[in-house]
Amino acid sequence: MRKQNYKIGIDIGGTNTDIVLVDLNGVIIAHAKTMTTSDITTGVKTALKLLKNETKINSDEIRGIFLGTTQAANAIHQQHNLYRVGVIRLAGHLPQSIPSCFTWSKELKKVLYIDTVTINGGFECHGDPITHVNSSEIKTAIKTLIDKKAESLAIIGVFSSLNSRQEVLVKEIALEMTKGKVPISLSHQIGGTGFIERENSTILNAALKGVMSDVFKNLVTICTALGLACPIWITQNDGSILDLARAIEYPVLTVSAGPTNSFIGGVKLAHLEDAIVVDVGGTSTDVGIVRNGHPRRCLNNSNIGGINLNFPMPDVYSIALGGGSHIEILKDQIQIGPRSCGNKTFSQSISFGGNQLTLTDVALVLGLVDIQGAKPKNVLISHKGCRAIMNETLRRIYEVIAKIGPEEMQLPIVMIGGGSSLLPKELLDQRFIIPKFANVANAYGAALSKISATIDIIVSLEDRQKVLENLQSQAIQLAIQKGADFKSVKIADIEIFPYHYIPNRMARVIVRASGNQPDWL
Amino acid sequence: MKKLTFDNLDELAIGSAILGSGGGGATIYPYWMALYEVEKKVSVSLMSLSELKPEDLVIPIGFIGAPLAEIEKIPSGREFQTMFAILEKRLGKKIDVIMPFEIGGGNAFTPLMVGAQLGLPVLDADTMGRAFPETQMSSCYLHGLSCSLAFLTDSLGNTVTIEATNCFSLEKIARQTAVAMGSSAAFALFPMTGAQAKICTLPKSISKAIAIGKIYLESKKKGKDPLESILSLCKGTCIGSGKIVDIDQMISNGFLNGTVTIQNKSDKMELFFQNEYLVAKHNEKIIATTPDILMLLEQETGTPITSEILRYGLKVNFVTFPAPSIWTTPKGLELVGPRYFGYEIDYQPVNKPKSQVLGIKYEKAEL
Repeated sequence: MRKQNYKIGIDIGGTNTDIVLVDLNGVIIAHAKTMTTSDITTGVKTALKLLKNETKINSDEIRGIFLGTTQAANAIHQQHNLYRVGVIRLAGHLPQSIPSCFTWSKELKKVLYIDTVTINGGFECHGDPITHVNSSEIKTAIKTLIDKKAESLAIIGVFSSLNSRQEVLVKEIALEMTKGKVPISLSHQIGGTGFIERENSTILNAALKGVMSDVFKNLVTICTALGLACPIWITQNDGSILDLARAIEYPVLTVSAGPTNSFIGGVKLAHLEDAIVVDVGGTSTDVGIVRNGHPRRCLNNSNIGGINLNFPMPDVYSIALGGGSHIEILKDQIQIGPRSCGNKTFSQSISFGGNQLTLTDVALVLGLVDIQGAKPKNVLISHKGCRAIMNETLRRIYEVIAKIGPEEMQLPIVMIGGGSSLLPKELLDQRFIIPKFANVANAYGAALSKISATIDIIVSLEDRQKVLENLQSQAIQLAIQKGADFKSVKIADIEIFPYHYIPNRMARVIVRASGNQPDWL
Repeated sequence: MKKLTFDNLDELAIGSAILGSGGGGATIYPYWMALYEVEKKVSVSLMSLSELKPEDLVIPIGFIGAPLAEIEKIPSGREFQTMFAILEKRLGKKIDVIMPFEIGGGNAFTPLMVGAQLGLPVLDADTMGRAFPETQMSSCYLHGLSCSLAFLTDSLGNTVTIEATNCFSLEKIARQTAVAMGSSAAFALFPMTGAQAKICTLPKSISKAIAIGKIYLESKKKGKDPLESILSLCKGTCIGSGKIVDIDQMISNGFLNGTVTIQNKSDKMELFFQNEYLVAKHNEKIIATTPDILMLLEQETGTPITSEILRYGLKVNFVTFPAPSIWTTPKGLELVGPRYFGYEIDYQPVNKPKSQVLGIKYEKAEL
């Protein structure tokens, strides 16, 4: 028999682990779903085995594995298995106006933060060093933190996004002093302006290095055990892929990969590049917008666990409404959510012998879905009442969609997620598409991740056109270097944020180039 | 004297953003700085104008430069300590009271941070009643106070003392000095006596901003829209509401210039800004201008939307508050009226009773 080539997409969520097997044309051949296990990897192993048994494919037919996971976010929320972090600020003006981890919860700070040492260095916005770095001072700082039992170091220099050489120097010295045993996180690798937010991201990254590298390395072990020798890629916040080595170095870059994969998976299942994606889950509905195959990014208030962060996260509009949402019928109004039965929907809902009216009950009464073991007759609400509830549900969903922006209103709307099958198709206008395999969109999104490169820099736009052209060709080169198929690489977007009061037309410019995975994948 | 509480800081963050008329810079870093200092000390005292002694030395302070630089090269936190030592030596007198030179935006927090640090009381007043971009746009200048002495200190401890012959020169020199200092510097100007402060400053600015924030947060806590209560507190007007459908912005002469378009069915409002919101048009007709305070509040949450965080698709209420009365005199308008900012129009106060205002009620966008 002729050998085929496939790739595997994996999504490790909080509740479910989903796996899809995709051929090189992007067609889903098979999929499997298991519960996410507490050690993460056993669930993946089970699902991979299921998939292999079902399809009888050979291990050497798999050309690549693409993993998306919410585990980094979960580790932060659960404050579990985090390294204790020592912080070095390269800031010659010795700022004491805002200390490290100032806005964090006391508990999280206690779990992962040791101390901060501030030393000479840093840059002014016009590029001069604030003060010059000094290697003996760097050594003393590292020794101080290691003596205090720091397990991981975070290095943050003022305006290091303009010039990274001081941070790199600290890393070189630290690796030599610790013989490479203490992981080092550099803030310019995470990028963006806003010293405190970038410091927060770098500290979280340093804290995540242990637990996430375990997840990633265990994945390699499992794959090896199953005879899968292909490369493994990890999806990051912007929906493009990281190679395993960089994901191990910068795990914080995967912290919001979950919603990103679902948005990308949604448009890909519908064969679109631009669309609004509505992910209807059990507890919440997330709405996002995809342009040129990339989810629109959120520029303000990106945070996790109450900590302000500065790297791009997808712009997600969420409402607490999903398949398990509690429904209350008040005098003249219907209230859906915010409480939900979550993963107990199939026991607590009235149709399943429980006593909570949920959106799933309503869909069952209206005959929109048929779920094994369900007894919709137990639900004592008229069809008319159920239709009113569905109308209210859709009104709420339309309301979120309307927040996205007027110029997006003409775009198709792709509906995915476990709850998408509950909604009455006849009430959706012609913009709506519910693609096949809508319930494994996340894993599919991971499998089809793009290869991209981002340049995020503060530059003078005095010679605007030339500067922008230069940045674009740099971004394209970088994407090709990272392995993107050169024929498909293009500039995905350019964002310019002008800064006032600063001379020379300084602006933050973010240029992103992205391309498809190469042919052989 | 009144002790400020932590709640007051949260309230001030909202109130100062609203009084910023769209400008004044983000409040989050300055808020953190003040919070950090106040957490270390017992508290900071707010002094009313009536408590001032005529011979007190009063110093208006704040940061000058680009908000971008300030959020990356954050202040050392020692700038004002360094500056005040030099200032006191130069004037041969101890500082008794400090105050914000502008209440709009992040600078509302500077004297609170410094007051907590140095144990100085903060005067419940400012010199703008809102946010403005230039040094001479100050009640002190308008009242003829001498600007012959001003101080800038950077985070490395360098201090520049400027003895300017007039306020426009001071603006030019201070701006360039701030650039050389890394586009962010501590700034003190118009040193004055208590007697002068009683005439030359705008009273109760801080407590007004706190009151706005308080009403806002209380309404939010009760799950109510803060709009109505803020309007009645500030004698403001809701001109209309709608959705942001276009944002056109560019940098020129150091300012963020632009137009934001708000659409409601066939009604169109345009808001012109140079950091601060300055002029508003409704269907091509001018309906509000500087120095009235023009502000956008997000409909759902009431969040103040400054010009830096404008974005497509936001549903906003467009509100105006009357300008501090010193700005509506001919001399005041010469300094901060629409013509100073390059608009060939005269100041048009929004002073209609509420029933006569457009009051376009927002309706759900049709899908």
